[in-house]
Amino acid sequence: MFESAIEALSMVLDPSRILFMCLGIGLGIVVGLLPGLSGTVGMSLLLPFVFGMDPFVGMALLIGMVAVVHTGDTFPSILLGIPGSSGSQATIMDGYPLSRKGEASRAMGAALFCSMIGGIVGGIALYLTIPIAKPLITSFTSPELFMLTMLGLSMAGLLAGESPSKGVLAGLMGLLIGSIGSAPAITEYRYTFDFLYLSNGLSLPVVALAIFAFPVIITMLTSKESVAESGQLNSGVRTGIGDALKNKFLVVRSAVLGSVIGFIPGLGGSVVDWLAYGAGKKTVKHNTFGQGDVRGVIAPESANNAKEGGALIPTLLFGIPGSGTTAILLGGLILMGLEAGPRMLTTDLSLTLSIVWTLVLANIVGAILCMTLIKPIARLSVIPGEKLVPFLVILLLIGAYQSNYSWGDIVAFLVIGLLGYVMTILEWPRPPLLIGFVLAISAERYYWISIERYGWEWLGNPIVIAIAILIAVLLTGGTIMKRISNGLQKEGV
Amino acid sequence: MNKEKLNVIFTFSIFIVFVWAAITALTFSRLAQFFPLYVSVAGSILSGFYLFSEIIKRFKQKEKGEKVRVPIIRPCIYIAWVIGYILLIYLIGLLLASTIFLIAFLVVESKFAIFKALYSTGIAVGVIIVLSTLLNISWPQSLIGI
Repeated sequence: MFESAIEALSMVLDPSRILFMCLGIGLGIVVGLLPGLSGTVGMSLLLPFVFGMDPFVGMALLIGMVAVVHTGDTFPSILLGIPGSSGSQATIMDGYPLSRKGEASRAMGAALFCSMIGGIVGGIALYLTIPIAKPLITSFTSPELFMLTMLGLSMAGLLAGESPSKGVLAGLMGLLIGSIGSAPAITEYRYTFDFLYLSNGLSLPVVALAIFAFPVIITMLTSKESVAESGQLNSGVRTGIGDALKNKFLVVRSAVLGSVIGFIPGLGGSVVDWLAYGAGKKTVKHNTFGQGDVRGVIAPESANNAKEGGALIPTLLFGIPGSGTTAILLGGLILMGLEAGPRMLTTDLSLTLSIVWTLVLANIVGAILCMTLIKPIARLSVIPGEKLVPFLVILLLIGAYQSNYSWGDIVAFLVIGLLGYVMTILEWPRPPLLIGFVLAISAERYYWISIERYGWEWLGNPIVIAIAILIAVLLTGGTIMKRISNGLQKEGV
Repeated sequence: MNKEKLNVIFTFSIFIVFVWAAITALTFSRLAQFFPLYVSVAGSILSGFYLFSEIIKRFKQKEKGEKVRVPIIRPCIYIAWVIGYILLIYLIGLLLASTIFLIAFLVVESKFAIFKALYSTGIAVGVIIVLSTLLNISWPQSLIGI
């Protein structure tokens, strides 16, 4: 396979393919930069152009775009506290507080560098998994997927901060909001009030934008401040890269986690960053996650780019799309006269390997391009709120509308935004609500399938037990370790 | 408004929503009801307990005379700006509404000089048109069909 990889690299380095990859990268960064637009939008935009195209050129264009969406989405998440896409929600937790301290450049330097490393790790994961993918993917059935969803939900508890009751209640609110619309097990609509818009449930971009962005714009206006409280920008990009290098194990750990989660179809890429953030919070010593700790940016940013490599494994090798973006990618393959499946490992192996190379190269080029943009874009954080907000309001409303092209999107944005604002002023944690919302449908679907298919026997499944132990360790480990450490300190050990 | 009082009102609202969701879930068929029912019953119990603890805490604070105030009027004014802008989009379409909203907001709230407000609005509207064309972005439809 090594020779095939070298051959694929020479194909990818063809000038015409590099040009199309750069076009994809440019579009991917713009899509990531604009809140509310996701990789799905970028992919649908490019799809008509790949019809009948040489597969190597077409894939360079499509993969170039997908690879860097989570690099571009770092800017709004860190600078404005607004998720650029669903994969950058956790970046806000520490990225935005760093911007408030005037350290936006540092946060972005670390985030972009980690995005690049994460993307490379994702590409390597895709390459290494090719020969062993089939048994791994088939080992995940509904009970394991349900437990992984529970693992994601346990992050709500970790992110509750000082008030666990508020955190759990917010998570339950998210689960309830996520159950609006049709039930996965039966054709029945719930809590729709006979509105057609609600029959498909609320869409993630609308909820994410509303719950994070709306409170930010109102708070910026009432406080009459810029994002950077001091109105000044401090340390720069190099410091951020240095931070990432100092935390190299966290970068690699989070990137591997991102690849693994991306690799599991149906879990949803939106939860990857939260899992990495939660895992980072539990494993990093002396952290101040949530208050502007750069390691809180490093963990999710390493994971969300790595996820793309993992997500391509089931898509390309088995035709199982794990997200809207990969579903459109499957359509793109068909338009170019290809078919996802075992052929991608035999007759079309060179194309699969060219995708691996494109993923790696696009992440490097995308990160370098974004780094050159940090300085001018970081200045946004020193613009006073009342001058920046009216433009943001327009951008956010257009972004929210792109989910379903319905007025319901805008109304939902306003209503959930008001809920988010009240939660903000009353110091209720908002991330648990979003995690609950993201995982509601998966939790319900996999629980129902597990019960219907296996009864209660699935509880004895070794992987289920292992994930349950992991959840228990994550939730209680920190407290137990703290108690042991306090006990040892008191004893003078 | 007093923050603790607002927190009690908010928790009470959540409690009511969870109770209503649990009662409504009972009307769904078995396969559709189990998930919202579990969630809303858990939410009702937890929010009930939390509400109770907050009320007790509030009584204790009342005795001590501690109060943290949250601003209400200014945020309401800004929320009204956003709602007004949305209504304007519904009536006259995104482009016209954005033009009017930007000029009005920049002059009234941001204290821009009229020329600077016009100039900034022109650039913003230009960017909206260019991005919408390049990225094939759709705009909300208005009553007058613009």
